Amino acid sequence: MSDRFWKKMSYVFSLLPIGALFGVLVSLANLEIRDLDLWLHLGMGKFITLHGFVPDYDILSSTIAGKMWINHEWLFQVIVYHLFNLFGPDGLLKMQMVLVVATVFFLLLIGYNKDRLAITNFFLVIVMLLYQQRFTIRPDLFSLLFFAIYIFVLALHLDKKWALPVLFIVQVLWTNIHGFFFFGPFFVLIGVFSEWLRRSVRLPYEWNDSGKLTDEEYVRLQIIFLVVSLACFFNPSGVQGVLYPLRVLFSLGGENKIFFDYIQELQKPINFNTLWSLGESRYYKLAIVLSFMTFIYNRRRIDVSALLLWIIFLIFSLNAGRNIPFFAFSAYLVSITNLFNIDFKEIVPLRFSYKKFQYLTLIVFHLLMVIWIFEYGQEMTSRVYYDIDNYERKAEFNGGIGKEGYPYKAVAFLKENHIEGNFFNDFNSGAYLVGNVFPQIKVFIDGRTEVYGGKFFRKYNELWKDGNTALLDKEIARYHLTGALLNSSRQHIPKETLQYFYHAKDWVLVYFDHDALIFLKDIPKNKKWIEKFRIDLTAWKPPVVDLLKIGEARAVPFQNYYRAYTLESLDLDEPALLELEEALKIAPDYFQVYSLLGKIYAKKKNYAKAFQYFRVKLGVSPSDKEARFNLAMAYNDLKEYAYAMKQYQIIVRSWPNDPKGYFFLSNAYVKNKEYEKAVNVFKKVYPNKSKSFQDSIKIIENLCDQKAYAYAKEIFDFVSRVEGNNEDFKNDLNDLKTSKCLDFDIKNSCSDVCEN
Amino acid sequence: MGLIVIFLLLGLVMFEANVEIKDFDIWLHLASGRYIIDHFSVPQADVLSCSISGKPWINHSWLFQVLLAESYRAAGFEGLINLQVAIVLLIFILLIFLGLRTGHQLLPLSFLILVLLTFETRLTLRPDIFSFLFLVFYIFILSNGLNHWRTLLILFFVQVLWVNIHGFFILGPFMILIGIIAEWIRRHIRLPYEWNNIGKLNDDEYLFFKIAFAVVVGACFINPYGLRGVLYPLNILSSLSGESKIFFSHISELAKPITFQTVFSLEPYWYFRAAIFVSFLGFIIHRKKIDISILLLWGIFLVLGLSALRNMVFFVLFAYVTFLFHLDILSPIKFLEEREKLKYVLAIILKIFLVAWIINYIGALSVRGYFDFDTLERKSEFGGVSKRLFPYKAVDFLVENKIKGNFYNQFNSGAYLLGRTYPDIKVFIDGRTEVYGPRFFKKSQDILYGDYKYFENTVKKYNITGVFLNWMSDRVPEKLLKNLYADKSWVLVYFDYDGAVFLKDIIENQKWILRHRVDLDRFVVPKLDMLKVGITPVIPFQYLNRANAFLALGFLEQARLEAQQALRIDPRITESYKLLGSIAAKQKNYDDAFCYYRQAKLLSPHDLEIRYYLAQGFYYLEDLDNAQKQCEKIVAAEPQNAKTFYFLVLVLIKQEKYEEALKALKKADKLSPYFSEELKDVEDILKTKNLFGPLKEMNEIIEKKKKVRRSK
Repeated sequence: MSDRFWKKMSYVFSLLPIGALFGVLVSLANLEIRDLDLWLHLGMGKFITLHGFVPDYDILSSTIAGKMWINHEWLFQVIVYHLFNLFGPDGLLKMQMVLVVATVFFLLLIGYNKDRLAITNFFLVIVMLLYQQRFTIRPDLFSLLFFAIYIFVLALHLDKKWALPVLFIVQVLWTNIHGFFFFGPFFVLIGVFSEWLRRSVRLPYEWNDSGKLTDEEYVRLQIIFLVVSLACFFNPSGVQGVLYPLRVLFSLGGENKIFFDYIQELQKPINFNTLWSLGESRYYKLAIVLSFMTFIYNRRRIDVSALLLWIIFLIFSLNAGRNIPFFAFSAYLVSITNLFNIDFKEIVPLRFSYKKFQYLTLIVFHLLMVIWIFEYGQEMTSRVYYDIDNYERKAEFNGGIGKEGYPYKAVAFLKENHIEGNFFNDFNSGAYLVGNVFPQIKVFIDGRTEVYGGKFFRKYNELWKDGNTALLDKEIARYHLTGALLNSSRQHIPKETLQYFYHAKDWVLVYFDHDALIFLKDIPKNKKWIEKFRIDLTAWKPPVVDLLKIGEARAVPFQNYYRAYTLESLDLDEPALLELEEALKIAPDYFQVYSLLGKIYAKKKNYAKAFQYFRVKLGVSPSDKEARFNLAMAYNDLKEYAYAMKQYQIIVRSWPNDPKGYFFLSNAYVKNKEYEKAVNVFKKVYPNKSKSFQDSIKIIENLCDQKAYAYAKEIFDFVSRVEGNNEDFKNDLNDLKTSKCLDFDIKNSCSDVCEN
Repeated sequence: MGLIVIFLLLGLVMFEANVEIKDFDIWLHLASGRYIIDHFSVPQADVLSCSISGKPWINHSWLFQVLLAESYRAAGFEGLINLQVAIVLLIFILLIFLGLRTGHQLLPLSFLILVLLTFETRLTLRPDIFSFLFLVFYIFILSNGLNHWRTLLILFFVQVLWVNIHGFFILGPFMILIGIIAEWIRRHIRLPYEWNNIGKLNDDEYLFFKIAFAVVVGACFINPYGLRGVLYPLNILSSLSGESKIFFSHISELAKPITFQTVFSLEPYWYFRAAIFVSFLGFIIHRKKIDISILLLWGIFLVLGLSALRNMVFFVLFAYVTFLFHLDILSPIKFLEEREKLKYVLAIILKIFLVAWIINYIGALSVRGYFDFDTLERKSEFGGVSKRLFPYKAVDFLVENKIKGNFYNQFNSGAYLLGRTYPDIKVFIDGRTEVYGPRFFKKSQDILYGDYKYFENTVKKYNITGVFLNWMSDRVPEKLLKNLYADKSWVLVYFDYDGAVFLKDIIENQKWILRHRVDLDRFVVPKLDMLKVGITPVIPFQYLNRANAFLALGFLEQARLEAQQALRIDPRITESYKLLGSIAAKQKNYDDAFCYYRQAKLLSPHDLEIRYYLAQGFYYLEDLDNAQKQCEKIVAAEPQNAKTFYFLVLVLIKQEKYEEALKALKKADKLSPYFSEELKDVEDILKTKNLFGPLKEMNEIIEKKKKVRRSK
């Protein structure tokens, strides 16, 4: 068989990974719906369709009603609403499939080179690995498609007559679909700027010539920039709509910075702690390293526009995980641009005696790639979970709606019973409420961070996380809140907030399950629902699960666990224990249960049993900080201070920046009568790592309990020097004076400080 | 850099060879070694057992036993471990020398990692490690060329040692014979490519080979048994088919490392597979210049290695040699020929990776250990004697109380009993399969599986006065245990997690019976101080073993308490749930039984035995469809599982799927001729539904099986 034959075979085999890739992409795009914000889009899409206009003020919330709102995604909302209305959730997933396939198809066209398909295929796989992390029904999908189209047109078809009208249409659509529309003009601007650099600035090596445009192309590019910039004005809000992304961008540095701490997709994918870890964001790191290396290999002939694109999107993606696919596309583009420019021999140190072996090697490479793609696809798509409600297995990649992330049962309860009013809710459930029960129910907050703003979000945190009762009273009255949906489907409800509503005399619990609690204000309007659905949690019994029906399927008893957690937060320990017992029957290796069991038994002062459970949990998750703290405290409760010390020493070694560990260790030393060590540890943490004088006072008290007054005084003097005129410190000192410190010296010292 | 890798590798070898004593047979060798030293003679007939006393015995490892006994006398168990370390270190030093002689460093050292990983599976002080050493020695000598009388002398000496240390001494002459055959083939048969010229010997060398063969064969006669000793391995080989096949299913080291089901998988023993692949690749790349003697030996050692786990090391040692032989060959892929600097840089980087891997591996090994219930501390797997495998407490009991007699015991505990108690106690059976023979072994298994009548006859025949049951390294022999406990002529004097000791109620045993009689009704579950255990991972095998024994004896409450205690210690242990399920099933609490079996299955999803219990759970709750599904999954994975087929018969009969039930029954009958408990239930159903007539064939099979049971 001749070399020509092997060359043809090599080409044929190089097409196989492409087919496999598209096949797997289609499967992966069929991921069940889990997105939170989609529901808000559906709700708005319905409103726009029914009323025939796009409101430029808020209509969804009870807290920001009437506030100006640039709805930059209205077109997306209308599209998804219609698809959902006609075809249900599968319609949306089909849309996702089409968008994904189209996007990757454009990428393929950009990188298609008959002789170098190995490179294209390899980088397309990297793109797939990063892109699929954002397979969720959001306007971002359209942005990514338009991104790909822009690159396709600008990189390959700048000289074509149809380039301009196509980009214009794309830009108009983009402006009305997603706030990232400014990328369009931005790409063009990068191109214009790069060309200017090539022409005006002396660049290293052959960079001035690499990717250089003709004069005609340069002019075309500038015209395109103007046209696509103008296209941005084609939106319902006009100039406001154009300026919107810039406004959002500038607000990110100020008060809106808070969102980056709370919203997962806005968090940095790589930080200093995870930089060298292969477990975190490994494909993203791989993409960065590989694409960077292509610049090294091609350093003599770098295309400046590619370099700028790469740097900008690298920075963009390093700032927020949601932007990784944009970087993936950029990395793909620059990698193939660079690698297509250099000789294969410069990259790979292998030399083949015969050309035939080179083609054979490529065939084997492509076959291995196909196998890997299929195995990856199979591993992903075979993920199933057990739906305990329906007693059946559900595949994650078989379409439909994923229930676990939504308070679906609670919202179904609201819908079925036609409950109305202004509701207090958490950030994660706002969009789902809007999508399902608007306009009967108006939410307190939803996912539109840029509309609510950082200040409101801070207030929301005080209400939700801290359970600030005075503020809750105030806001309930201010916004005439008549209901509260406390969502526990994605996170545990903060104890203070839960206790507020549960113990408030004018709030009644009408719904309780793993996904949420619903309270209604005891007012005449809510009487009929209250009378019908009032719940007494003290008599709560876990629902019976038919284990025979579940059979050997692996079911995660998160429902029992979430209910137990909520019950425990309300100090309803017996029902909580029943739920946990059921959870272990369903899955004996659901070890979260053990932490909660330990907590409950510690509360009941059955420290031996608490210890038993905490040790199991820590045994299973030795790097779990909370588990280790729990175990240490269990030793403490059992008065085994030497063992407690050992655990705190491990905590301090493993988490040296957490001051809590030091304070506890210091206390443990005190209880074990190692006073000198207690003082030394205390001085390590205070005041450098923490200025918590409350913890300091506890140590002083414990030292006094042990009659180690000299050491108590040493710490006291040390803290006083730091706290000086701190009023809160003086207040706490009064308690110290009257309570435990019998030593005359300290009492007097306390008085002295207080009087000063 | 290369030296660093070598030293680290040797360090790793020493570390690994320092593994705790966990071999069963070592105790037999110690007992035998003691006997030889004390009596200054190698016994020609059995002296250790009460059942084969006086039977001719070719003790092919006598010299090893003497060496062992002397090392133990001099330095205890540490002395034995040091001996092992020395031998293994010597093996690897020779291998490294062989590798360095090729002028390469990185590749031989990398392959030696595969050798070491395979060696790990046989790091236990047995005569085999001397065979490995002698094999490597032979290779070392032969690779230097056979052209000097000194070489003959060395080979003679090595062969004499080998023949008196291990039955695999035959490999020595065999290797030389292959060399001769290979040369003959080169001279007389037209081989492909350039094979006729590769490794060709000149006439002098060829003659020397033949003389060497005669010399080493002659050396084989220098053993206490003369010709019988020489023929011994051949006799063993010839007996491996036929009845002796029974040993392969009962002795783990005789199992095949790669089966048809696992041939395309990387596990188990990925390093063994890698060695096969890499060494085979050498032949492919070097196909034009194959040395036929190397090819033949590689093939033969591969067959040997694939036939049993214990032989894997022989293969990888030779695979290493093959790999070295092919190292210098140029291939179609020329690696970095024009970039010397890059080549060296890459080599350094790869060596750094190797160093990092070795250090990391040593780190991982050093934390290997388990919980010692006696000291409540972690015991490393390195140094000392294993506390997890031997019924040491039970034997301590025998030793401390100076109990004597002929004892019935299980196969796995025979050697340990001998090593600790001989000559006070003579065993019923031990690890010398070739002496006892397959028929005796099978009979001893029958006793364990419940043939009490045969046991009683055995007691009379061999004047057995004690029974030693061990469940550290064996399953609880439920039927035998139950029968013994119920038999008034036997008294339980010791019972714990490692085993039980019964003494015959005769005058000679009275003093021990009076003092140590055990009343299981009063047995108190020992509590474990969980505070001391902390978060150390503990496998609560003590509780589980006792629970299993209690369950077999029908002490359900005690069994439950033990299992609950095991769960308290670690709720991830499948066995605990399985036990609780079995207890609940016996108490006819089928809902709980199913719940526990289900939990066990979730923890061990691939465990077929647990799946069997789950099938039972479904059956108890009348979910016959699912019961059938579980059975079908089991037999799909294990087509020889007779027990499941019998159960499937029951399930199908209950669903009135008579045709399928008959098919299953026929299959089960083929696999196991014994009457199964499930067939009793099948009979009941047939009787109740009056189906004996219509299901004539099924009835006939059942009747046939009942006859087999009665005749036994």
